[in-house]
Amino acid sequence: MTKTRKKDNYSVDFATLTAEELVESYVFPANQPLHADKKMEEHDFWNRRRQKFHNRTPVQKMHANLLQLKFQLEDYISSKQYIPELNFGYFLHEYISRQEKKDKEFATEVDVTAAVLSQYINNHRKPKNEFIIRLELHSNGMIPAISWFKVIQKDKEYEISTNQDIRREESKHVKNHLAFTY
Amino acid sequence: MYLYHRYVLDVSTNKRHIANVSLIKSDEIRIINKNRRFDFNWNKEKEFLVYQLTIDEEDEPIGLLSLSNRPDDMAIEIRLIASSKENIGKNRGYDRIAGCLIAFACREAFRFGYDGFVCLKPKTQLAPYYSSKYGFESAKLYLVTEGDNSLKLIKEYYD
Repeated sequence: MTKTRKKDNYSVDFATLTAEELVESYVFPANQPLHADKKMEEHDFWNRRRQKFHNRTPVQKMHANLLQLKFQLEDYISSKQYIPELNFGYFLHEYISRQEKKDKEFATEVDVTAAVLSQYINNHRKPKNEFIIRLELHSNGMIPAISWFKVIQKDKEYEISTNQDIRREESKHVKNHLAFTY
Repeated sequence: MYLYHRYVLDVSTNKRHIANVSLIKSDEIRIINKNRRFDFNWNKEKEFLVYQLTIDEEDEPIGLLSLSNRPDDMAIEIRLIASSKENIGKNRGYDRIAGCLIAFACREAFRFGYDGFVCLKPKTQLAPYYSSKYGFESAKLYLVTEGDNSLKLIKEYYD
């Protein structure tokens, strides 16, 4: 049951709230710095930020790139949009390349042949459950198996929804279909 | 739906409610601002990324967030957060609204490749409380969360 509230036109008296209550509910609008020293402080802050980002170690960069991939993958499988290029092979390739590994090296790490890995990357073969679990284990749980499974599922959903050839072929095997229309 | 869901808590029942965060456009901001269910003038945020937090059990949003994406600085800046007025203080209906929005900002900062770097300019007297509650670190003018702390916030506010 949804709740519909009346319009709340009262103003909140911030002075009646504790500091804890304020930070639980607000981030207040900030004033732009007016004084030159504050502007310089802000300028320095952003300089330090850019410098820190560019001075990351290779390990830090890799970790950040893999986390980016993780969240991009999760957003994609949660969205209603289907983008053919964002398939299992694409994300697998990204997972490997962001570690700056060669395919052959990665294939060894997950105990498949280079040929099989190539087939997965190029979407010429669907991965088995065992391989998906190995990906989860390889990422130490960063990208769970269910995420890989759902991107495969998304490809399959699109394929099964749009494949007219298979419908024509399978209609030969169906008799007495329902007469109801929908 | 995300694999891992943000959730708010009904304070009276302790029941979890999945919280959805969605980007809203200028006309929606104008309507929300007119309703005056939220403090601050949200029309001023139209040039930025404004998000609403909604739950299935409520017709209207219960939280608002304004972000500035700063790609040159590899940062997300939280400009403004407000819970709806009925969700503030001792008699609030739902808890974790601001936390969910901050965690969302952290997630966006990872998704953009900023390593979870999120900053905000606090009111001076509130800075230690943001640090205590959300793990922000002080960098004089700004409070910052990044890396491990941003991941911790995502894990805390997502199921």
